[in-house]
This record gives sequence, structure tokens and C-alpha cells, in this order.
Amino acid sequence: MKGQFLILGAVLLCSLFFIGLPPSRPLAESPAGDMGYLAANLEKEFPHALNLGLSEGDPRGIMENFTGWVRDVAGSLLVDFSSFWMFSEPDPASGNVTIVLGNYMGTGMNVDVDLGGNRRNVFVADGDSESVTFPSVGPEYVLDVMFGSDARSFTWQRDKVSVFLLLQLERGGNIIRKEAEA
Amino acid sequence: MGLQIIKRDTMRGFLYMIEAIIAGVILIGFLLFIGSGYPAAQSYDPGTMGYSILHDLDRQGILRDYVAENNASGLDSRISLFGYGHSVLICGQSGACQGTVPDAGDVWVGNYLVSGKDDYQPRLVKIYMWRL
Repeated sequence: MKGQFLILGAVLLCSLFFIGLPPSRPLAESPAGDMGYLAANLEKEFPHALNLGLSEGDPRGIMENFTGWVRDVAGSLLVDFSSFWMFSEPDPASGNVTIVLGNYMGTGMNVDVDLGGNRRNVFVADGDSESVTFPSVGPEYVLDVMFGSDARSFTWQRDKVSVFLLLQLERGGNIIRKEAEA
Repeated sequence: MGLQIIKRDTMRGFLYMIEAIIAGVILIGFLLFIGSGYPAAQSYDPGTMGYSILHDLDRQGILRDYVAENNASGLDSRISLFGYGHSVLICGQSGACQGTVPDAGDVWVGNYLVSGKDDYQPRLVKIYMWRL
């Protein structure tokens, strides 16, 4: 039985060495295949597009253009892309805040926007955007939005541009839905 | 007397056999333990490898500069991929592209959308990969 004790000892020593190593990590990871990467890419790129739009003085036009382009590119990858986004445009001189709503969900919808009890209803056609302006807004405000069957509530700063994004990617039975706020 | 010696030798042989089996079980168990914890080449997923590479290049702040300059060959030169050939294509909103599409079978494609760097210039970056 002496030989087996030697083998057992060698195995235990080797085990101690391997336990000390970090766990293995694959070189290429796929959280949800290419759709997962595409969703992460868009989640990062939409706020970037808005920033470029703000610096070029046309955030609404650029967001519309970017969303339409993303829809075309996603279509070429056999991904059905839909999105709803909204962002605030503060006017520090007047204290007014304009909320811009973009609907790319595949069908037109009524959107309820409530800012501190001041409620507006606006119809946004598919592939289009609309805006509502609220006068004399306090430095911090609560914005309640109902679009389609979804409702969200946000606390935003009057003098800061804020954005909410809903992105949905669908291919066959696979659906990825992401929401981001910045 | 002679019968006792034969009996003792048989017992010893039987013991050796048991010892060999125990040693084999210990060794096989150890190899299985090591093998299960450290997967090898099957972790590669060429279908998403391109996406992963482009994501990493953007995270490192490399991608956007090349895309803004429409420099597909420059971006391609920043990619090193063992065992795979690769080429990069940068396409503008109009559909005009810079770079090369490989003339090879079994090609994997990874895509990455970029809205711009300092100006709004939406571009689609494609990386093509094939086994060498």
C-alpha cells in the first residue's frame, strides 16, 4: 500500500497548485450571442449620439436620424429593432423644460407626460418625435410618463439634459429589452 | 507446506491487483477533476468573437479614431488574432464603404455601430474573420 500513499500525496500537492490558479475564462464570451453585443453597443451609442446632437445644436434631428439608421442596420442583420426615447431640453433663461419624445416602437401611440401635476397628452407617430414644453419648472422635478402599456417615473434636474432610452431587439423568439437613463 | 506457499503467493497477487485498481481510480479521478475545471479550445465562439473584439477596441479608445478617419486598414492592423485571418470594413450612412471584403468561404462577421467621434458621422464597422 506504500505506492498508493505516494500517488495520493502527489495528487494532493498538484491539487494545491491548481486551486491557487485563477478560474479559467473563455477568450470570447457570448452573453446572448450577437444580439447581446448589439444591445450593449446601442445602449452605449445612443447617449453618445445625443451628446453629439447637443454639441451640434440639433439633438432631436440627430436622434431621429440615428434611430432610423440603427433600425435599417439592425434590419440588415435580421434583427427587428424598436425604441422609445425621451430627453429633456432645458431653457435656463426662462426656466422652461421641453421634453422630446421619440417613438420607434412600430406603431403610433399616445404618450401621457405629467410634470408636477401638469399633464399633457401627445400622439407620437411611429418613426417620429414630438415635444411638449412645461413652463417655470422647479430646480428638480418629477416626470411621470405613460407610453403604450408602460409607465415610468423620473426625478430630473431642470438645468441638466437627461435622457431615457428603451431599446428592444428581436430575432425569432429571442428578445432583448434594455432600458437606460442618463 | 508447499500448498501454503502457493496460497500466500495467490493472496499477494490478489493484493497487487487491488492496489493497481485503487491507483488507477485515484489517477483517473484526478485527471477528471483537472479536465472539468479547465476547458480548452471549445470556449472559442467565432460567431461572437468579432463583436467582442470591436467592443474591446472601443473600450480601449482605439476604435473611434480610426472610424472617424475612415481608416479601415489602420484599424485592421490593430487587431491580432491567432489562427484567423481578418479584414475590416467601415461603411457610412450612404452605404459607401472603405476596406476589403474577403474572398473566402466560411467567414464570420462582427458588427459595431458608431455615431461619431467629435462630429455626428454614423458608421457601421464590420470585421470579417476566417480560419487560416
